[in-house]
Amino acid sequence: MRHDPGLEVRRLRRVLVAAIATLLLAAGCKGGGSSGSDVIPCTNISFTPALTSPVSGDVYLQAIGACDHVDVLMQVSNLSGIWTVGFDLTYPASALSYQGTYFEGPVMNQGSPGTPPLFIVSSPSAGSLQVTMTRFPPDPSVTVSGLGSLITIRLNKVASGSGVIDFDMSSSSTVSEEIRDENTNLRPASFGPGHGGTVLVP
Amino acid sequence: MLGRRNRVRPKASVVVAFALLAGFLHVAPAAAATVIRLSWDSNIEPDLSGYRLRYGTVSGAYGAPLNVGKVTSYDLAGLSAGTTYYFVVTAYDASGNESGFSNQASGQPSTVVGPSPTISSATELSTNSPYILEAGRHSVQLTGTNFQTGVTVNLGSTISAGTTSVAGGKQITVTIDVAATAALGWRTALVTNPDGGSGSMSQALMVTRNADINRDCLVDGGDLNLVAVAWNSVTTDVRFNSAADLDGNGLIDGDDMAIFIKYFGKRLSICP
Repeated sequence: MRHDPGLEVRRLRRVLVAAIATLLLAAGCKGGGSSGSDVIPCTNISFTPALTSPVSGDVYLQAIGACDHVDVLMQVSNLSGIWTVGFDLTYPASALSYQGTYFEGPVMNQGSPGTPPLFIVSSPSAGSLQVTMTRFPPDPSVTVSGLGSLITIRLNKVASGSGVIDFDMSSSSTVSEEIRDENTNLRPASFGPGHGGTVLVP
Repeated sequence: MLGRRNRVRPKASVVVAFALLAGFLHVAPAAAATVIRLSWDSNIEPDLSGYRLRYGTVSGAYGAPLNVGKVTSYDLAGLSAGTTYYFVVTAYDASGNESGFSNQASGQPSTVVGPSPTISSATELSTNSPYILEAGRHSVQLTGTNFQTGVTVNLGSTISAGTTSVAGGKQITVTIDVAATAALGWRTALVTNPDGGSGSMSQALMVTRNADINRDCLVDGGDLNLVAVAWNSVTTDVRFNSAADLDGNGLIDGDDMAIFIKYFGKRLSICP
């Protein structure tokens, strides 16, 4: 019988991958038990983006789910002249609650601005977030080639359920979805419709 | 008799000089209390123990003594308004010796005044902030103490305040109308109780420019953009935009940003 060293390597790899996956799952899904070694299996919150093929100027949502929270990323695709951004969004308050801003940037912090950009996130009511951000003179506007992240919002699980997270472009919205440059001009950014996604909280 | 000071030589070498001050505005616990303040010169005996006050409504006829302790002034409450009272005071020492009466003083608690109101904070309710837009109708809440039903609120010219609603003597809610001509900047709030007692707070509320700078009926990123574009500019700069100078101080800075943030995403009662 011929010895196949490649087979051994592949076996070893599979074992290693399985071990790492198990460790990662354990690290990410630790429950609140009394012992630190307790591991409670869980299923991550899932997010299915409505927009799968963004084109230039699209601003849309992506998300990374964990057991107890989901980080919602506001992404922008191929756009120049980004200096001030504003939008609001809705999420299913029955399943999620706003925890806070998880990560600001890196789009607005491009080029090491002399004045730190300002990020304002307001939660006027459960299920609603209002967001605006800006750079300051003399820092110039920035260009995103490919994809760039404007801000990441963390929503915590409050109960099982599902719903849509999306920009609020309804007539009742009190914040316009817009991107402007340092000369107050509107940039050709598109926030929808259908730039959000469906969240499933198990 | 008011303000008059006489000296007498009572027995036991206790000397008391007496003066009466009537109509003193006293901070008393009851809004309807009548109060009169009595004061006298201190006795110099080393073994002085205290003073006794006697008073009545007929000259020379007094009621039971009131031991007021080792003090040289005393606020006597609960008197009838419009009635003349007559007062004398005596001193007593550690051995129980009591001086003769001081001179008699008289007076009327002619003014009935409750405790003066105080203001500790003022808030525009829709934004929970001290900012009020330059024009329009707003609900304002003042917190403090000793507010009486019927208290009036004054925020200066070009701002009219309606009928007040008082809760627990500690909170006033009032609707105000800010005229379009109202000057920008801080306003002093003055409250006046029906009994005449008043209190004020400087820099209570600030009249600001409308945070909807671009007048699209929203306070959002478009307005933030205008504040940011003019950021750190003064009136002589090309970049200066008076509409973005929300506090009207000639400098576009953090104060203007603070006002913007308070109004960000709020639906304004007035759409310009």
